[in-house]
Amino acid sequence: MKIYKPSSINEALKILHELSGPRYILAGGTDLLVQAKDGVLLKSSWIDISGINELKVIKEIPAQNEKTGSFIWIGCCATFNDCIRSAIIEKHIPSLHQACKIVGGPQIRNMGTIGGNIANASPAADSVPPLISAGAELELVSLHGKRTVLLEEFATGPRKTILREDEIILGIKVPKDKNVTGKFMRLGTRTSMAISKVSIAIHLKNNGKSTPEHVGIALGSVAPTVIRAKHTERLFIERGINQNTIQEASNIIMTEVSPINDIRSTKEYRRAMCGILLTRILTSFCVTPKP
Amino acid sequence: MTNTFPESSLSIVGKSVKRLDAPDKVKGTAKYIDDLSFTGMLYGAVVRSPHPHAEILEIKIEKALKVKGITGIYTAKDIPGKNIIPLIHQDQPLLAEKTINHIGEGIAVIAGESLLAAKSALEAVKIKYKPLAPTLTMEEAWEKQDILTHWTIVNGDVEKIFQEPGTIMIEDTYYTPYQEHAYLETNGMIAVLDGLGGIIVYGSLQCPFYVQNAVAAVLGIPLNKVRIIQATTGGGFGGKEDSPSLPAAMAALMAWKSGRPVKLIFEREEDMAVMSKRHPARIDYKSAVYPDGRLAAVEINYCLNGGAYATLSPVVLWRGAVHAAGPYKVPNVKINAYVLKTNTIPCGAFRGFGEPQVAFASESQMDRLAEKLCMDPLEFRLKNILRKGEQTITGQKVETSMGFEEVIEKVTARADWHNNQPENCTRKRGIGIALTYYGVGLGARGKHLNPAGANVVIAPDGSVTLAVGTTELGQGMFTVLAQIASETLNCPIDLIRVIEPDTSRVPDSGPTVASRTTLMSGNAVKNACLEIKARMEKALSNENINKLQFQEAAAECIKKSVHLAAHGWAVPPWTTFDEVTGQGDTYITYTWSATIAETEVDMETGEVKVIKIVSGHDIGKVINPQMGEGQIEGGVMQGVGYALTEEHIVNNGKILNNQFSTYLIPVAPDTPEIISVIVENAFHWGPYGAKGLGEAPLIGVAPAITNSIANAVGIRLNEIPATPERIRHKLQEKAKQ
Amino acid sequence: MKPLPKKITISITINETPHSIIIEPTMRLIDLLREKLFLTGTKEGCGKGECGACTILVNGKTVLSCLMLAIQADKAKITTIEGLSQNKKTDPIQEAFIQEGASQCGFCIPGMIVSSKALLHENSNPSIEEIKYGLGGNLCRCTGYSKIFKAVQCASKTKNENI
Repeated sequence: MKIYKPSSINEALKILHELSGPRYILAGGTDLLVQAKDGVLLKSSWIDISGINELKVIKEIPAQNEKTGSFIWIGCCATFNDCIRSAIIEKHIPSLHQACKIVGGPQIRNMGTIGGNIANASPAADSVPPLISAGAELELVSLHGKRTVLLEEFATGPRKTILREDEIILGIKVPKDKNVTGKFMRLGTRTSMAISKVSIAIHLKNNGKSTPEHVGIALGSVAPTVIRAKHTERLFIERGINQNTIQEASNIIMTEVSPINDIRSTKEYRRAMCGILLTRILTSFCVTPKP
Repeated sequence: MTNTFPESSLSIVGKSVKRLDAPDKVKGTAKYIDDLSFTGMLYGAVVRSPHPHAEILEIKIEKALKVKGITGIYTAKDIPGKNIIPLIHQDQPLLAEKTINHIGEGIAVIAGESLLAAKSALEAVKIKYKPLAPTLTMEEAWEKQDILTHWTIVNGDVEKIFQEPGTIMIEDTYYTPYQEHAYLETNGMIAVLDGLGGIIVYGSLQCPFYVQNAVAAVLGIPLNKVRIIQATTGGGFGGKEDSPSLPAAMAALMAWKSGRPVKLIFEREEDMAVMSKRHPARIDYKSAVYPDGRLAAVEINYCLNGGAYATLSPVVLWRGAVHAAGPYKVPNVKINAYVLKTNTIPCGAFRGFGEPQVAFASESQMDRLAEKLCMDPLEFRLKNILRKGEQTITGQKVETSMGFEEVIEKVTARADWHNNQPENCTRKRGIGIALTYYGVGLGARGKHLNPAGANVVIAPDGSVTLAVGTTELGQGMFTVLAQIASETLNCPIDLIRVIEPDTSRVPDSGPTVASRTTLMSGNAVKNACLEIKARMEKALSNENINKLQFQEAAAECIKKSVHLAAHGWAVPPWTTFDEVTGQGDTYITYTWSATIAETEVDMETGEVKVIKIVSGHDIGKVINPQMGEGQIEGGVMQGVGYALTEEHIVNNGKILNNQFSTYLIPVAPDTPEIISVIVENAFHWGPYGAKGLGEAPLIGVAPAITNSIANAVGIRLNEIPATPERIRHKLQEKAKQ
Repeated sequence: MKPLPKKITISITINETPHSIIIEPTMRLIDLLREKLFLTGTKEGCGKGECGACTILVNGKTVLSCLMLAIQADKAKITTIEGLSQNKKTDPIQEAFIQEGASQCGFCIPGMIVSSKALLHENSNPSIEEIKYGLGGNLCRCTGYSKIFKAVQCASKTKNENI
């Protein structure tokens, strides 16, 4: 095993460009060192980017022009705990804030990064449903330049992504909107240090009209990747959020998922819980509408 | 006979003395096995079978021997003594030679200059197998009648009762899962040749004399050449009772062959995948009551999945069978209990030792009978509990230390049983009770192991050293025994030191199990101290012993050449068991327990939140109340895990969830309010009236929780853990009716 | 660019003592502590970040030393359990663990105490729920956690009284 410790992003990209053979980015280590212990990463190269401070930044980026709008930037090496402490995240991506608070335990939250959580491409990654529901994009970079992709299109299966071997995830861009609310819920077998067996995040943008301007609904652990529930979203956009549509949506959402049986749960249970968690979140919005 | 010792006469027994080992444990200076090392030490790794059942055709080690840093690879052929772990049936080899009987069975051990070297050679050992058809489930083993042990307990005539018109019956089959000990420290040993023809093995272990027997048998040397020393041990719960003999004998074999110290520490995944567990069980349970609420009869078929080898299964089963009807008077019983042999991981001892499985069934039955009788579950139980002078199902009259009613009274009061009203919303609250009892010590089937010894020596400066053959696992033995010695000698506890358990210091004192340590080693220590004290009093009779400080008194005695050392030996009163009828005085005394659980069930998700557990026990006399509470709180949480989340998922004899992220024990935020109740109804033979506590708090938790779920939402689970998936399934079934 | 050489020197402050140590770049932080520096108070319970027994403080934050390479701690300030009781004087948290009988087998306790230290540093007067949340990454199989919660509450009281 070879280890590289670049001191800048550019250096990291150069190393990635020159390397051949299996290579992994080391950031928080909470996934990589676990896999290393299982012996699956022998004879690989590791690029340790944990010391590059500019990758840890969380900030607001004002609109460049009217078309692009402003957004929230989360550097790939920002940890779960960095997100919990960020007033920007708490205000603009509340569902991500809630999700980060329940990931693992305190130590994992101090170490694990949002970029790592995304790159690991687990369908159970807790930070991903909130980000997908909020319409997040990823900025991927290599020596050949930058490209921007939708987060929902990044993972293609468990531990499979569209990331090229010479690329890294530079950061996450989340559109910054006014009047947004969001919420995350999950079911795990215990209160902490649990991998979610079902999770759901909703991101809602209201403009005071009877139908919401934007509804993002994303689900974890119920398909090979974190997925968006597009039919369910459309129902709310078209007909608003009320007792009737919630009831209807709780059935539709169960048709949008493809859960499996594994050591954590059963497909029947997971499917049923999608409807129940959706209802719970939306009912909570109806009861306490946010300004 | 008085029921309790007068409090005023005791100066330190009954006080929450701070644990003697706590300062080192909180500072990180306590030495666990992996914290020790020796000059020239090698590291070991074990080659294990991927098959549940197979014939070994060929073992090729040549290539592995060439891996850098490897010093030796040893197989069954290299064993100088017997290839056997000597326990009840003498059926388990240290290393499989011709036949594989379970996944993960050891075949060869590799010693290397580093852990990395030893591990990297594992793959290079090439073994040819001829796979054989395995027996994987209890049902298959039953078909083949692969039975390792069978016990019967018969009294009265159950068939007659079941046919009587008017009796009310409940019959069901219950299932309980594997439970993992999940001690935070995995198994580990270091074997070192002593340079005098013998060997010393240091390790994480519960029963040094079991380990001594195994190492001596495997090396083919007498017991006096094998010395076992317990390192600070990171939890046991029964998991380090029978199974440490395997890593100890493996390390000893490598050290014996190589001449160098060898450290063998199991990885977490390895430990969880292959080391012993609580037996999965299937219990067919039929109960009958008279319409007035008196229990009339129980018929039980109790099966345990023993796995590939007998280990301690015969006695685990025996304890379960003896306690199978619960702490009730049942005039007619028929119990058939079996350990079935399968090609799966051998199961062994675990806190409760065969009782938690059957207690889940029996206490579920009690609740269902109460339901059918339209009686309060507590009222129904109170009608049937064993009271002083009454007989257990084995015909034993329970006469001494019977604080059962007091336990139940106090526990129900603390749980507010009579005022607890379920709420009505998506989350529903419920309350459930379980009454259990636990025969203290090894009982009639293990009585040859029951005596225990202690050596007490007073140094010229008045400091006192205790040596015993039982072990400190975290339960607090060091402190409890020091308190007993301090009380008996009338000497400040600061002067007392309990040295690390070591087989060379005392005669075989049996295992540290069966909640027997306070009772047995406590009595041995007390006996030795009494002897020394008598000598001191005799020698100092003219000088008014009460005026002297202990150290001064000891110095005076030394001047007078008084023998300030003694060996204490405790042999418990005799027990009996008739193998044909299953009748006899099975245990010397019982710990009486009541557990009440309050839970909240989510009707939609099936999730259960435990709100409160009240756990009460008559333990005769509590030597250290704070540590007594610690035993209760810890046992309760292991019970909460057993009830709600813990189980192994097995496929083709292989455990699929062998790490802490997949085998889920309770975490800190899962902890409910736990209220401990200790009742002291002195046991005349116990040291200062003490019985035993370690295992009792776990046993009743699972049925109390499942009974509270039934109380909350009206569903009965015949299987644990009570996962959200199972609860939701039952709720939906109920909704369809 | 070249990979890190087979041996590399890192500078690291451990329990207030600066060290300059030659290591292999693949060495885990826990191995550096236990095997190079003989600080065996930090325990390995699983090696996969699932039990919390190896918890230490890196620049004041709790981390799992089994999931970190030692080179990632280059120039960092590290506190291990040994650092809490320097000069033989125990930390008030350690004292509280003794008083409340919060240790049994003791294997999880160093990690538990380090997590408690970080918890009380951030919140000097935590509620019972906050204590449970703050210790959510440390498994204990012996105590049922209850006495550990009490010890943290007791340490927080002593701490606040001393201010």
